[in-house]
Amino acid sequence: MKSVCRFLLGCGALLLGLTVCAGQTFAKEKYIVASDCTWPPMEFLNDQKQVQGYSTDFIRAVAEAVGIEVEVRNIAWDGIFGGVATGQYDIVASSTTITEERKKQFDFTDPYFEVHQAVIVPAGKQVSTLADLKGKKVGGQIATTGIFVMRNAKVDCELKEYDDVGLAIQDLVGGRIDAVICDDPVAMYYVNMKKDYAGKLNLSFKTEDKELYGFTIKKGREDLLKKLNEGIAKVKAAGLDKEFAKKWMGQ
Amino acid sequence: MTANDPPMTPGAGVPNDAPIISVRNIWKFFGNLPALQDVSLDVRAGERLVLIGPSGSGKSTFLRAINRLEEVDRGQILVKGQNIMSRENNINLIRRDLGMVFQQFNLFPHKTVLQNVSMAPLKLLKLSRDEAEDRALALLKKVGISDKANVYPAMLSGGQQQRVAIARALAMQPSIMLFDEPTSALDPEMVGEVLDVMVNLAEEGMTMLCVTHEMGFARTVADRLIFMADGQIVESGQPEALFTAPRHPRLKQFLNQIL
Amino acid sequence: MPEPDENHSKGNIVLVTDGASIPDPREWRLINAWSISLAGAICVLAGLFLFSPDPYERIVRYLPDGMLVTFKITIMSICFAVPLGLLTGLGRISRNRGINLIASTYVEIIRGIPLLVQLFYIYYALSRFVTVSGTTSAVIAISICYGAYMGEVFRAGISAIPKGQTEAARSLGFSRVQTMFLVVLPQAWRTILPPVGNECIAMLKDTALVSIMAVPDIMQRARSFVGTTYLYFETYTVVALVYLIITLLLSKAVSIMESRLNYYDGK
Repeated sequence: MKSVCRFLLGCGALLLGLTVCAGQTFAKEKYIVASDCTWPPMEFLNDQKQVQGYSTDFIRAVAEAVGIEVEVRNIAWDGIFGGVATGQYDIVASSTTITEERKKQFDFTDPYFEVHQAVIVPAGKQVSTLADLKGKKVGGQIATTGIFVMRNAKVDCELKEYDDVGLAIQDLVGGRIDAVICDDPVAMYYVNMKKDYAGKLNLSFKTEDKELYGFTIKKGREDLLKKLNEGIAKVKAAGLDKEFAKKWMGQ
Repeated sequence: MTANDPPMTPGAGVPNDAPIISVRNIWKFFGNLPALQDVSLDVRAGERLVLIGPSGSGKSTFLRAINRLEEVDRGQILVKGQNIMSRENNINLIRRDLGMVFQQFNLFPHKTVLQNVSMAPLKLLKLSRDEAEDRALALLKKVGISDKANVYPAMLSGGQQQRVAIARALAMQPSIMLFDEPTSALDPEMVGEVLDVMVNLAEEGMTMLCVTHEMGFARTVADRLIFMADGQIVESGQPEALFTAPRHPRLKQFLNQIL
Repeated sequence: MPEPDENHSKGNIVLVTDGASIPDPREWRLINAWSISLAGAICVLAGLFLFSPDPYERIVRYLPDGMLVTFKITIMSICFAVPLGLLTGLGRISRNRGINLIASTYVEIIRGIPLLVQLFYIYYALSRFVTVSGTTSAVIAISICYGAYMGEVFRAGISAIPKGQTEAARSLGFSRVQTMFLVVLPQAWRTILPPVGNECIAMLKDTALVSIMAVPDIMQRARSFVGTTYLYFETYTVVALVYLIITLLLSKAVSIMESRLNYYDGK
């Protein structure tokens, strides 16, 4: 009898919970944002395991500007696009470079940041072009533009695709690979701001081609796209983007 | 060691009429239960001993102690003057001189009959394959099973398997044969063929220690009959004397039960 | 004589990990779970390839070098794990308390740590002392892990051989080691082979984990392909079918080997 009571009570509590949740959703439109938090300082976890970084601040500011609510979740990069395609979350805010190939599958907002690819080598070493990496072991994060750039450059090197760029940097320091290619803010973060690697790394050069970050959404969500673009414009107009850049990259 | 060396050399200074096996006051415990209590026995070369007794009397344990398949807890066992418990003597060399036949045959199922018999001479005595196989075939002929040389043991009857097992033990040319209830696992109609082989062996003068329930065999073959009960040798002597005039009440009771 | 292990281990071999179900060598019917799975997998893969060459042809063309890496890691790991398993199994039944303790402790520790953690551990933790490549550390980690699992298989297989076999060999004058290698192991191998084959198949499947160490195996090639094309469903369909076909073929191979080892059954 007791257990039946407890069960009913449990059901009641669950129902109540559901109702409250539903109520909140109706009150303010809420969107789930996915970020791969292995990409400092753009999006990464602080000591309290909360998502922080430039992209995170940016998407929150956009949400505030257009009156929507966002909840940022940490999602592994490998598969992050699959989740947005199947609707597990609405927006990818994860330093995603807008590429032609990606645009075939997803919609992108207007750009919110501009980067170049940067090549990191151990301190004391120097390379100045991608071609210099011939015969070397080059690491990067799997399915990132750094890897694509290396591949398209058709340099005869051994490409090592890591689950996150931090592991690649770790292997660079450990001597397993000769270079790491990634977005320049990330490269600068590891070379200049990460204490463990102080003096061990050298940001050797950046590519000429610029890449633009956009927020990624599933194709066909015109209203959400419109809203986000509106927000991006407002944030830029208010100069918040420069504030964030200063906060996270010290520029 | 090379093929020409004898399987083992007798200890120095042992006179020719010394017992080939000398068991001195051995004790064996399984947990707290004594399986052998202060057993002593001398066996002379060429002697044929049959051990009888109720199950659990320690007769199998005693037999297995002689080639150290059971380690005794106290006492001494000398085989051809060599202490089998001593670290100085290689038990593997001593065992070559002690052929053993088991109740359950224990043929190697993954080897053919010929391989079962030739394996030990081939690997231990380092005979050539031809020599080892010739020796094996001669022994198989002796036990009357040479036509089955190339089959696997699983295709043989129990009696045939046991005869192969005897041939396998003989292949090392031991001077002593130990039989541990060799016919107990056989169907009645197969007991005869195995006993025939054993009788032939006895007639050739092989030193034999045989644990068995076959009283007919004991009566005709044994030089000495040993009756064991409760881990001790209760009575021993000429088989005829023991069968016709048992002195110990345990032996009388035992004979009444089985005869 | 008290033999605490005997009842527990006699004849029944515990499957420690999940490999694949090894087909029964006596199964002779044309239609069974194995043939349906294999025919199905091949038909689906061929069908996709023929009727929808884009993107399936691209995917299939992208994977082979990853397949080579997967095979390479699996075969190298088997070469180390099987002897290690044999040593461990022998150690576990050793009368030498020291050796027994070492083997048992090794099995205890390894079985309590997920393979993924072991892979990371060996790759990153050991890199403090020695730098080994991703493939090498993958082989080391997988061998150590599966050596422990196989050790249990070997131990059970060896314990399942009747004591009489050992006694017969010892009574002829064979040493402990000769008895093990000439009499016990050749027989135990038959009991051991299916579960060891099973472990090897489980191992092949577990090599998919090495993609986290930037080793370009089938799985990483697939992830890399997905990373450029975003064809999640299509790519992983192909990957699943490829793994399935490989493991089905391997399980059949183990089954055939098993039936070869049954030659002395007298049937």
